[in-house]
Amino acid sequence: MRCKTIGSRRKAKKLSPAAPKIKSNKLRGSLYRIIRQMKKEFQLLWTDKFNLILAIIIPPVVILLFGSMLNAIPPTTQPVPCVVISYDSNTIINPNNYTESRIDDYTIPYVNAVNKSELLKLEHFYNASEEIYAMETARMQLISGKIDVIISIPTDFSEFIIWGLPALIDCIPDSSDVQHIQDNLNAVYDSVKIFVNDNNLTPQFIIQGYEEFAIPEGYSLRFNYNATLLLSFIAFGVSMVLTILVVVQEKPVARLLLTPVKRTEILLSKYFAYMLVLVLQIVLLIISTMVCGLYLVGSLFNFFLALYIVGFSGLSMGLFISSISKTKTEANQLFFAFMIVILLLSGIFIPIDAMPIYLQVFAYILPLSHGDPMIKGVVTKGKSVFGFDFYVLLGISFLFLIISFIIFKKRRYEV
Amino acid sequence: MNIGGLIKKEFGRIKSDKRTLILLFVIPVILIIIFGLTTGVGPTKFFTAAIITRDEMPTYDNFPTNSSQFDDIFISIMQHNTTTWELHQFFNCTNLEDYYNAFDKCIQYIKNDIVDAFIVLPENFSESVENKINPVLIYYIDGSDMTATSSIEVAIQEPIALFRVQADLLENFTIMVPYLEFDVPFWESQLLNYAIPMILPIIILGTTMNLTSLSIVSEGPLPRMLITPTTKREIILSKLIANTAIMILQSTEIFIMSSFFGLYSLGSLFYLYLVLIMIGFCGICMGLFISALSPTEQGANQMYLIIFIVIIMFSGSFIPPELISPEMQYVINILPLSHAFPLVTDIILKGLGLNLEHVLVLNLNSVIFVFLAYVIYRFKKIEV
Repeated sequence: MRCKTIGSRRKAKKLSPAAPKIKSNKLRGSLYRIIRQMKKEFQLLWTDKFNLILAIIIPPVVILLFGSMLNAIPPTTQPVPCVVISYDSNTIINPNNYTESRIDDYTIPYVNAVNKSELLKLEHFYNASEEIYAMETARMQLISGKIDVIISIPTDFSEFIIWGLPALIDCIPDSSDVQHIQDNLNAVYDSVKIFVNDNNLTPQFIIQGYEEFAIPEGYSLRFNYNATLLLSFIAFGVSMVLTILVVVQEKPVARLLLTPVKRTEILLSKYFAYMLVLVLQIVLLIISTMVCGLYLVGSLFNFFLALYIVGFSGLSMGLFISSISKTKTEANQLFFAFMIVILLLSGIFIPIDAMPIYLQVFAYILPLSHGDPMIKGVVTKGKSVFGFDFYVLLGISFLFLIISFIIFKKRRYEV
Repeated sequence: MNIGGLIKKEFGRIKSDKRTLILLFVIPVILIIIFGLTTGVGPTKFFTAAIITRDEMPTYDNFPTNSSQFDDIFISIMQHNTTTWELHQFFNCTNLEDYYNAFDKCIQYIKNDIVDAFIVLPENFSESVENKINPVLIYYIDGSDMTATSSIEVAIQEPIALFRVQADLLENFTIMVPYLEFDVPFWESQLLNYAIPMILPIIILGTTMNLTSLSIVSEGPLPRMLITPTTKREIILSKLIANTAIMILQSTEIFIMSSFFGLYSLGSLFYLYLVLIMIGFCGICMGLFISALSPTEQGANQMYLIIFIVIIMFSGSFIPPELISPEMQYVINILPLSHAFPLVTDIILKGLGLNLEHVLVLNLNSVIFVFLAYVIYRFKKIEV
């Protein structure tokens, strides 16, 4: 009787025109279970309000704080404190006719140019012919941080200008502060420009500069320059940290497996739930940056998509970490390892092009190396989001997604 | 239970999770190796540029004869002689149509980040040089790149200086020559050593904060321990001591690994090691604070990341403290990395000793965070 029933069922399965209907019922059942699981995920998130506030509210607050600080910075830079040491009145021997020369006609005009420059603040002027330890004194001031640059006028400065030879001005900036070296050089260059113009030292090269894709007046260049970096960092980090514990910490997974829910459905529901949370996070991030005065050249949709794909790659990596970790502490350690490697090789600290080729390859596989250029392209140049960086990020995200599914599927759970 | 027993228990707990224990010591090694591998390589070209020369186009201003010999010299210098420029392409335009096409192409190059800037040599370039009338150079730069815009005018002086020598335009030529003081010598790994004052504190602070940020919140048996005579103060203290011991091992490991990869230090290595330990201790205290404050592990992780981002972004490296309001400066000045970066820089690059002010604030941070961790944990309601 039983055999007959099974046989007839098999026949029915082969012949029945309702086969697609059964399939669609299965799909509907699966979808139903995923939605229920998603609901459970949201309930879980809702029970941990502290976590939710940190994930959704704090990142925009950080952006607002950062923006308010940068927007408050005046566009003009503060003058660089300096000392000028002149050796120009010391004696030099003309190698052509062996005559002595002590011309210093151009020393005072140069000091006047330093005083005239708005980028320099002259703290002291030393005439090294009278104060022989001028350089040592100035060096002590440089080491203690009282000044940022020493300008030294060499012995032959005035003579060379008069004789039609190149006159050099030695500039000694404090190079321990890498970020300010350029500011110091710019300030000294400004004084040289003023000196040349005021003393009509021709011919000079006239340099005319035009900026393409510049931030218009009224917007903070500093904020716009740093915001894209911060946004990619926050979007990636926040979505990654939100998901690193979702699989490893969930104790009922084992019990869930006794029900008709499949492993793929469990993981998919987690993905979908956190993807929705990510939408909210990104929207709030965009609102906060716009409030701070981000100058967006591209479309809002492209901007959203750029941030979303960065966040999505973080989400995929977070779930990957959660799938491979056996304990929460391990997941936490792995998160830190991933995050710090991604951060340090993102090009913020060391330019990627300056790395050896094998490290460049490695760096370009990492998401943040693509996040910042992509967001910058959309924000400052109005580029479309659908470029190389977008597809790399998409590829990375799907790769981690697939690996997470495989690991989660093969994972052993004690019921 | 005495404090010794609690510390032993803490070590036992860390030891029981072998994979985590391995990660604790392997991660810093991997990070230093990755950075060590950057040794010896550095950016030699700061600007990638294109040149459009209109020099062959006829000029009728003050120049009776049309000349175009000097643009080739300038292009050749940009191609072969400068240390700061890399020439991507040059366009020789003989008519306006060529020029507009080249211009559009160069704008696209800037848009697609292929070049940072392009230089236009005008029609009268060679004539101006020949007649010693101020020649004009026009550049177009990516205005969204703050670093490039702030450095182009100084960078362009190098090819101009080389050109003046070749074109015999030395009369009245005044130029600034930079000599960097307290820089990393060229025979050392400049790239690595300039980055180290930022990287080492970030790695150590991040590692140690991470080490302790789950230590209270994720420990299941802790509430049960409170039924015994063990006090909350002893629990916090034992965690602080045990994790400090691990942190010292981690810091030593990072210090030794950095030395292997050519750490350059003008100052005392002992001071440097001491500073790393102080930064690590601050990270431990901050981690304990996060762990005591957070009700869940996920919350602790979120908080760790946010605090870590805030500490990096407001460390003074991204926002120059001297430019912001005094109240905001105060915020920046209380964060640990604002003191850790200058401390390491002073020792490594300037050869100075320990700056007492920075040391005091850094340690004050540690004391405040560990105190807060204790207070929060003491008043935290725990279900036994």
